[in-house]
Amino acid sequence: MPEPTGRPGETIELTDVTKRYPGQAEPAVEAVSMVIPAGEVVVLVGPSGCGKTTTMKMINRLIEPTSGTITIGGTDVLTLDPDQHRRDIGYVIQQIGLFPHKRIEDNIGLMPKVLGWSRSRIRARVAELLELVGLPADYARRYPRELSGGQQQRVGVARALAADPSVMLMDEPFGATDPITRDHLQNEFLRLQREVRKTIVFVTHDFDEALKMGDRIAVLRPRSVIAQYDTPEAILAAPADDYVASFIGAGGQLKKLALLRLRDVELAPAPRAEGLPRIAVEATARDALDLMLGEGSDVVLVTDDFGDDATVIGSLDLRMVMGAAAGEAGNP
Amino acid sequence: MTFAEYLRENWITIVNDTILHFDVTLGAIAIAVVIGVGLGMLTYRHSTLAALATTTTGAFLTVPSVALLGVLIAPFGLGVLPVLVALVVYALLPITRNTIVGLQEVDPAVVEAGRGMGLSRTRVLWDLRLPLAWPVIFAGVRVSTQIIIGIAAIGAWVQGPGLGNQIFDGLGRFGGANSLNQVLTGTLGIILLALLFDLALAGVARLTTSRGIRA
Repeated sequence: MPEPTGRPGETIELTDVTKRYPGQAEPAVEAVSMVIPAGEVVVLVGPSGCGKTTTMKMINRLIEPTSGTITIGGTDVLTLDPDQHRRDIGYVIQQIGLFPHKRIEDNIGLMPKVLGWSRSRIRARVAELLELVGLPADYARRYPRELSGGQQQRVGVARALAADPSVMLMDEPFGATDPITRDHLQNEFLRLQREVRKTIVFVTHDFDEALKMGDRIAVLRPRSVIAQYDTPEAILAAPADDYVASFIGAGGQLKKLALLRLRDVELAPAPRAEGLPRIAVEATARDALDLMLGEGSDVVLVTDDFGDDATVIGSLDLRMVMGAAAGEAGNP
Repeated sequence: MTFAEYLRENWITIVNDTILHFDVTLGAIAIAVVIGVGLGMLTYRHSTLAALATTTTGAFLTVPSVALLGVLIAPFGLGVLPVLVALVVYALLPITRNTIVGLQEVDPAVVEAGRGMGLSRTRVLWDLRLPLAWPVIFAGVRVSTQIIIGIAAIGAWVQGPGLGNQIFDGLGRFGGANSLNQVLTGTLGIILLALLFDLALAGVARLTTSRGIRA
């Protein structure tokens, strides 16, 4: 695991957090308690109106809880000045909300400027963040409307990271992008998170996105009541009840395979046979199964890298994939 | 005397009247921007206050200008002062209303992103809402200018400055020598001044609006 760059994440702890709006019989969020471990991505997933966004916004106090306590790194956030508190938390929303009248560098650099950083330090930070989110350095001088939606959301993520927060809140950040861009942004974000190791609360209604992004997933019922809070693998293997199972939907076994990287599977030695299909060790068991079905072969060779000149390091057959689906990540 | 001859012989007075007309309009707009934008900033968040500000400034606009100028003689006497006050009053509605609408209609996502990153309400107003509402506010300034540049002519009735003097002089002795030329000079001068003023303001609007939100 590489050393995190910048400030690492802090643990977030919610205890009996409730939000009631005046004039409404039912609370919007009822007595939620959960621990979000430092440096992990926790996904809140649930249907629209279940209170997942409300729960998230109580962490940065854009919505004030009616009762309960929220701590970050042991500090009760309700004792802090709300604006000061939010400066320690990156915030990314689906509508992005870039400032259209400011150049990209001023969008990213606004918070550092408010915090009184020197101009040269801000410029260096902007350059560093643009590189981190995979945008060319000369985009700093552009205006938001000159960027595509996907590029804008990369700037949104860079802006949220600008003042090096320990915590990031992300509300359906990739929800408004097309499926291909979304997949791209998700992968880039996972790579970026391996570098920055922030504590991330990620809200989505898309369970497949939750599986992909989350170190842990909290499946929420209405009023933000937690139906199950566990790792993606554990939720797929043993959904707590029918409600959670309905979220997993059809194809649960395939989803489980999609979480399993071939590098985590104990491979069989490579047979001498020529002409077998090849797949990189970075791919998932689901990709391998797809390749087997596509090529009509029940064995595939696993290589250490992409490309034709990669070295074969083992093989995988259909029985091993079935074993993996059954929960034994290894040679049957 | 033909119209051209009249212009040639009286150009010093005419230019002088035009400059004074321009000055009193510009002065009134400057004061109205400070009051109108300030009023808008104070009221946009509260729908009742915002409605009150719009209806009040709107009501001013319904008072006939001759009546208003007459009323203003009592506190301010004759000359430039009552004209200035009257023009400010007439300029308020478009500026105030456009400020309120402009500030209210800033994309909520921009405001949420700003609040979420820890900008104070004051900073959100000055750094985000005002610059984004600026094109709308400035459109109000242009409408106000067009309205009061015409009304300023009536200022001559209380011995105010400007091209209105040409019109009132001419009308006062209509049929006499050069009376028609005077009325024409005043009227055409105001139209020309209004066009040039608006052109200049369009340039200012462009210069003061961020390239990121320019149409």
